[in-house]
Amino acid sequence: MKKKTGLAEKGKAWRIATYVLLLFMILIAVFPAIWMLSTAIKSPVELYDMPPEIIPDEPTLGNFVSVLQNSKMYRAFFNSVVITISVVALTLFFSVLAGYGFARFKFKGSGVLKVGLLFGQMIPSVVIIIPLYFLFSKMKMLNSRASLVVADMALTIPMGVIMLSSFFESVPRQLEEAAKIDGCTGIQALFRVVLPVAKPGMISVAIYTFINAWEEFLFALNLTTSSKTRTLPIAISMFSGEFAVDWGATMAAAAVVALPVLLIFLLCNRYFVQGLSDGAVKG
Amino acid sequence: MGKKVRQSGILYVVPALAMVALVMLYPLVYTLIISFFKNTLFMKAPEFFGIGQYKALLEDRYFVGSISQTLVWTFGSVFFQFTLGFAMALLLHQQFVKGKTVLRIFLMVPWVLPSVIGSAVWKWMYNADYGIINYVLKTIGVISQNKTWLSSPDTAMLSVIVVNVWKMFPYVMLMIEAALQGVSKELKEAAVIDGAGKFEIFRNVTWPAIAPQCYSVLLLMLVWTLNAFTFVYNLTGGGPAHSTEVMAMYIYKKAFTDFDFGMASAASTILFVICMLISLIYIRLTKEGDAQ
Repeated sequence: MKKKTGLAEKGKAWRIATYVLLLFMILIAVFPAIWMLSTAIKSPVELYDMPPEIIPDEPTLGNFVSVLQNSKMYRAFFNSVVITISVVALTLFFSVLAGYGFARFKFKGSGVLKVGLLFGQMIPSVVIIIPLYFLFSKMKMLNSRASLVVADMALTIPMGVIMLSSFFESVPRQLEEAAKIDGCTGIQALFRVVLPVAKPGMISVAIYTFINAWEEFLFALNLTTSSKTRTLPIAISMFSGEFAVDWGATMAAAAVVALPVLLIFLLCNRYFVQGLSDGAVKG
Repeated sequence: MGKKVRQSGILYVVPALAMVALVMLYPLVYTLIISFFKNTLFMKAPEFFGIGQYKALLEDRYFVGSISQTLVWTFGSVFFQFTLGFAMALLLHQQFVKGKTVLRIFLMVPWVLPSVIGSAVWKWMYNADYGIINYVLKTIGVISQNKTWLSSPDTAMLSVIVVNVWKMFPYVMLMIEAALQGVSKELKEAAVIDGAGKFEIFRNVTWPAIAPQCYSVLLLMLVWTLNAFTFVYNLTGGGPAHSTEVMAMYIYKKAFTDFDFGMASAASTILFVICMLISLIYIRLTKEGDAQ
């Protein structure tokens, strides 16, 4: 009897320990984001207060105002939005077709090509940026949004195809067969019957692509050279790379960049977690 | 267009493959070729140089240094990313834990935040005079004097690794948690009936079931860390005194500050080969996983 209560107590202690550990890690995980917001609402006077405070005595939106008044930031925001949306749309288009093709057909070399895509996920972007730079400069496309859209797809298409092909494999074939009997061609069957069912898979690819394109750094750094085509990550990096950094404004700018991703992540969390583990682990 | 081609389904994959060929295959082949040519911004035309640039790289102490920095950076990061992610997955997976979805969302925040944002915030937290890290560590008595985390050679690499671990452990956690959900409950229950202890169950039931996914996550982390560029670029720029200059950073500097594209391509090729060797193992593992 005594032993049993001992065990129960041990179990209880472990439960408490588990929660403590989880909460501690959550604190570490989210603290930088909290600190970013906290710094963003501090006036220059309170920025360097010791001891530092999480909630400033006199919170201010001044940093956000100055960021939103900065025309370069506007431009960068606009560029990032245009580029990200284009990358998401094009990646979806290419990966839906290819994912479907790989899931439904076995043709000569399809196995090799699929493995090739897995390799594609592993290629260092620093390896391909030099040739891409030359390619775009030859095509007179340097410093254009289009060049970034094309380059970003090197990162997003392989993963998109892999995720969607494993998703399509789980969609029963009978669906398209019925549609074909009703007189649909293969491609019509895909768009009218299969895609509506494949929505969750497409949403996870869209989110994955969005996050990647929104934060893409190396390509943007080298393919865009003027403030006309610069994206948000580059703008932020230049902000915080200055000698005398205005941390309040930098953190406000960072918060503006982080907000869309955090929102989308919160809203679509369900799809996201599922799709990610499907794509990366099953291959 | 022949009917046979249409029916084979190859047309579906052609657009994506054409894109991949343009933005990946072409650049790779180009890099490989250019690595045998001397090619800087200041030359009219590239000159064939054989393996000369590879030889020069091995004699360049900054390149050799970048290899050892890469080893420290990669193994240091991946070891802690994996250990931490694995431990968190086990904690979170326990049956009694309530509110898993919410806990998971919070834990995933570092992974969702763009790396540039992560770099900017950590740079501010590492700030020598006003950074919160120095303040906290001094308050709890770990350090007695403010440290210049990112600008002294002793601590720079460690500081960047910490940021990289913070960013990627959630991904490892998510993947391993997904694997844990696939472990057969019946087998576990049977083991309990047989009187197996927790550790035995883990070793004999859980581990064999999740091992393949653990290995693939491990290899993915290795390749991603080898390729990681954003943190190093934004936090230290490879400095101070080249102490955080990993291979990706070296290549970037050779190409876009020294404009020596030939040398950069030779170094790229070496990095690429290393990544491909790791990928080969990864692909063999995922294929085996499929077969099971």
